[in-house]
Amino acid sequence: MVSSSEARVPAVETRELRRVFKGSRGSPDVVALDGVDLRIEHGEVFGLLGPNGAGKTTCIKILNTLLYPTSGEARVAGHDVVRDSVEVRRRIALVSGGENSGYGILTVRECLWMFSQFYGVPSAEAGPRVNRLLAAVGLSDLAKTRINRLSTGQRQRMNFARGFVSDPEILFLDEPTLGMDVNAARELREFVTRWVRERAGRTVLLTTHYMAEADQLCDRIAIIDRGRVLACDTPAALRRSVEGGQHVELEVMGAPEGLSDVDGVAVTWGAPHPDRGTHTMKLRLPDGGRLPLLLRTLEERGVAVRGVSTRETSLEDAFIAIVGRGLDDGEAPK
Amino acid sequence: MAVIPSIRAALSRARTAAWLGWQVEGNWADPVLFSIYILARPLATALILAIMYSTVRAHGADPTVFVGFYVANAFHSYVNTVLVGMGWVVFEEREEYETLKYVYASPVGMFTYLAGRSLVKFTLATVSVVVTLLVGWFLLGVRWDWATVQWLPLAASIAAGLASTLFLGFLLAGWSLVLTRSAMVVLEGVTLASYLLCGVIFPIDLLPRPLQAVALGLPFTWWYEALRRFLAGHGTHGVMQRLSDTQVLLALGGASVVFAVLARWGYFAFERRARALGRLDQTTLF
Ligand SMILES: Nc1ncnc2c1ncn2[C@@H]1O[C@H](COP(=O)(O)OP(=O)(O)OP(=O)(O)O)[C@@H](O)[C@H]1O
Ligand SMILES: [Mg+2]
Repeated sequence: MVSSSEARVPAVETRELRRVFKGSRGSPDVVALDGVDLRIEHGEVFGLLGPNGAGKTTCIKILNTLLYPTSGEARVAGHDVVRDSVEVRRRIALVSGGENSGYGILTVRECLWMFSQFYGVPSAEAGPRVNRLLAAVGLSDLAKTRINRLSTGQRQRMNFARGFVSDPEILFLDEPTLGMDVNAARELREFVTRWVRERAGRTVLLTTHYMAEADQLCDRIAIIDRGRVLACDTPAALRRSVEGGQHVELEVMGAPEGLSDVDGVAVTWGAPHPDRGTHTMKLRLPDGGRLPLLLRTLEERGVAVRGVSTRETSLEDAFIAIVGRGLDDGEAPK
Repeated sequence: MAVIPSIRAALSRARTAAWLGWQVEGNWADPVLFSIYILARPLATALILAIMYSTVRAHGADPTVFVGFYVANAFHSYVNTVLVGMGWVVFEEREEYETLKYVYASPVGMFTYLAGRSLVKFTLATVSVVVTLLVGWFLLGVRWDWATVQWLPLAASIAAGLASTLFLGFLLAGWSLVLTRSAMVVLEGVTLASYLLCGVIFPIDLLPRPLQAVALGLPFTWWYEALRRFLAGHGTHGVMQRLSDTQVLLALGGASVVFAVLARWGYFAFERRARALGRLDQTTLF
């Protein structure tokens, strides 16, 4: 047996991965994955972004040996998920957010301990590790509480901790912070970052709809839609890949009705401010240097500018641009 | 080479699963409620049997027949609790606890896991068998002659019967992996069908011919006949009467082996099907 960390096999590799769900009662078949090629190296935190129904969960299920692909190949730590399920299961763990799973009758600590035993963690290691994880997700005080007494968010934090009890080589997080409060989500993100940094070669595959989360956590991101990878790169490179420029928001008064462009730059309008009677004008300038010129033009037209704010292209802009563009004129992945 | 450590690892995992089984089904706060839970079904059936047969006896039927069916019904707890219970484990883990996918994708292995979970069910079923027999002996006059008990064939048939219970439990658990909401109907159906088909409460001679053929293919039919002959001292009349004790034992052994093979093959076939259809994490009820 080749240890996956010594040989240079990727942590996750899929080739032409395809999954079709049979349509029920006359409805057409659903192509959830349509030829996905991914290569995730050991030590990476890799993000899978895509709109609802893009195929992210389907991909994760296949990699977790819960679902067969229709065709194509998927390997985890060099082991084929179909032929070598047992080897794959030894190395992985899965956390799905937004779920209410758990044996209500067990206490939080018992649940984590039990899963550590299913993974064969020696008892001497399991105890302290469970305690550390409970502290990390802020459940130390609830360790002896039965799961059916937990709030939804607390239950989710317990499930999040469960993903780490086996200290897995490759961890799959499917929308792990879904439905968590802002603080809890931030603590868990920091925990993931620390967890990966402190252990050489640990890999995380993450899906999320929170762009900031992906931006903060991921070394690389694949954007997928309708089962196809539209782009795969670092967050910074993805931002650069879409038309850059500066996003400008102006709070103005006295703009002429129906003004749709200024100096050839398209304008979108927000609703009027209820108290101040101002309007919000949004536009994207190809380069920041044009802002003074634009303000002068507005002044000449009798528009009073009360406030100006600008920001650079975000991952969200990149996401929307890439998904909106689709595969037709987008660059092929890799 | 690494057989011993891997067996030890499997045992330790099975022990954890058994512990979970105890927490989920056994470790209730209220012992009274708990006793009702494990004894209600066998005692209720025993009572129905007692009433039924006292009516029949009034019309001149052989009273020893009642003893045989009482014993079979008591032992049927294993099928009810362990065999069907293994299907319920899959159903509950998926629909109620939503943990099936985490268990399945962990290295525990469904065989080890289900074996561990069924251990508690096995213990509960054993308690229920013993209590039902004690109630029968002391309250309902269900007695047999200890001197005529044939210990060796009795032990062999109990071993074969319990093994079949376990194997068919795996098969039913596999089937439950594939089923969604319909698993409830199937599991209740299996419970009912086993009562009707295996000669638990009435002789299989009363069944229509085609069903009688099915009954003769099931290991439990032979198991219960063996219990009646080797423990209670009287077999059933009709079809079975023509067969020698050895033939009954051989039929039980044969049916057990066939179902063991079928269960092994069938479980994996069902599991593959469930994974192809994406059923392992599909919740449909709650
Ligand atoms: N068991 C199933 N049977 C039929 N269709 C399915 C099944 N599971 C998923 N699909 C379909 O496959 C497609 C991809 O679903 P998937 O759950 O992978 O999306 P996702 O990217 O995870 O979306 P979300 O962001 O909403 O979680 C969807 O169109 C979905 O309807
Ligand atoms: Mg999803």
